[in-house]
Amino acid sequence: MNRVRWLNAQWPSTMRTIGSKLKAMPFSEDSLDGFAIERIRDEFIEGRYIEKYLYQEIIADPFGKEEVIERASYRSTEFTLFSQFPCIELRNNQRSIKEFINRLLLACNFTLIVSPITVNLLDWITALQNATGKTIIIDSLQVSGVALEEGITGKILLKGDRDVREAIGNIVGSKKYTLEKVQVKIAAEGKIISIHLANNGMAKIPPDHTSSFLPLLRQSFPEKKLE
Amino acid sequence: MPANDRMNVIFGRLKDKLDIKQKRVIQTIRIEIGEFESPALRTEFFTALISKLKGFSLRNVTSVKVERLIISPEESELDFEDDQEDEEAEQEALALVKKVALKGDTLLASEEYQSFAEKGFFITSIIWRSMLKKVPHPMIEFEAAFEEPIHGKGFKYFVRGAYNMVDKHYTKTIRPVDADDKELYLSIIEDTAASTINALRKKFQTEVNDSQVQEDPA
Repeated sequence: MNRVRWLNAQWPSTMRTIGSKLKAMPFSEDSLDGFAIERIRDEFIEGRYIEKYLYQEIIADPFGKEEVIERASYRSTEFTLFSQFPCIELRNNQRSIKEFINRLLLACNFTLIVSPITVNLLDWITALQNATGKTIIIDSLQVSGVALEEGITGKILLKGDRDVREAIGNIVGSKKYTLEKVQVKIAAEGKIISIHLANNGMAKIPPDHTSSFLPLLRQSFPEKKLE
Repeated sequence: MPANDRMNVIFGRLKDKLDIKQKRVIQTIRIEIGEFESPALRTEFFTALISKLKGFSLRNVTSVKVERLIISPEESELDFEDDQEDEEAEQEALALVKKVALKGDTLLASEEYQSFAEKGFFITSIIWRSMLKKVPHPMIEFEAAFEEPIHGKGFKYFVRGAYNMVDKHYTKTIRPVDADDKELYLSIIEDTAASTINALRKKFQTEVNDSQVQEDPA
């Protein structure tokens, strides 16, 4: 599955200005991190952030001798920066995006705001259904913070052979809860495609269908943030 | 490194001895930013310090203290006793935020920090992590602050410790840094702080000259 995450940002300047700053911070053979910028347009910047890690591997033989081997490893995060919401799209990013954000911050002369997005998943799915024109089934979902009793909350995972939205309504009723993750099924190209969505603005898409579904997921991303 | 009176005396004595030994006056620079009345320039001292440390690459800012620069009225200004406006201003000041401490990750990109910066607050203290650009790439945690933030005096700086890389990931616990390495890292902070002060002075002078040209185009 290809992992995609969206973040919000407030850019201090135009995409072209930021793009040229990022181009001036390239990844090279001598650098430990940097950008490989592929396209700069008025509305977006597309590229990769690459990190190089040099580390030592110590191999001990049965006779107590140790051999130190210098190794290099690379991490790469594909991204698109948009002038409009959602402003940052990260594809197959590393678990930590602090380094990437700090590099953007440097390029923006420390006047950049980046904030995580909390999204209403049901709004996203409704918008996705409208964008695809296809029926979408939620066959699995996870809710947390279900107020069961005074001072007691629960986390519930539902899985079904049909849409589970009605079932969760029956279980939680009018209780407060947070919809955290869903798995949706969409019939497309003669196949049933499974996509995972999370309320932190993250999606997991099958590699074969990323090119067709990624623009639709981005287009249907609800702008209204949850408080 | 404490920036107290005792340290100032020790520094003075040490410098005198070194001056005599070298038979010349050693050039020193005081790391003070009180001359900059612009909160943006004061903040730039810290952002330049953390991003230009030689041999390091900035990775994270985890703690920031910001303060509002309140300039007291100049002596030449009229100051009426029992002025009603003064009393009103004092009342307003009761609800005025003067200092804020923020803790978290990538703080300088946070909405909260940027909002304070926009309102004229400037950085007075910072804790950040930078990766050493040398194998095995430990991530060093530094701290820098001014003891007298409003006057921009008493620059103090520390090496708080290191996060080491194990299996391509950094450890979660901070470890002490070897004494020799610590000395080296502290000297890098001193050099960077000194060159930053010089660069800011040039920038400040250029800004002053530009504003004078604008005021008096002839």
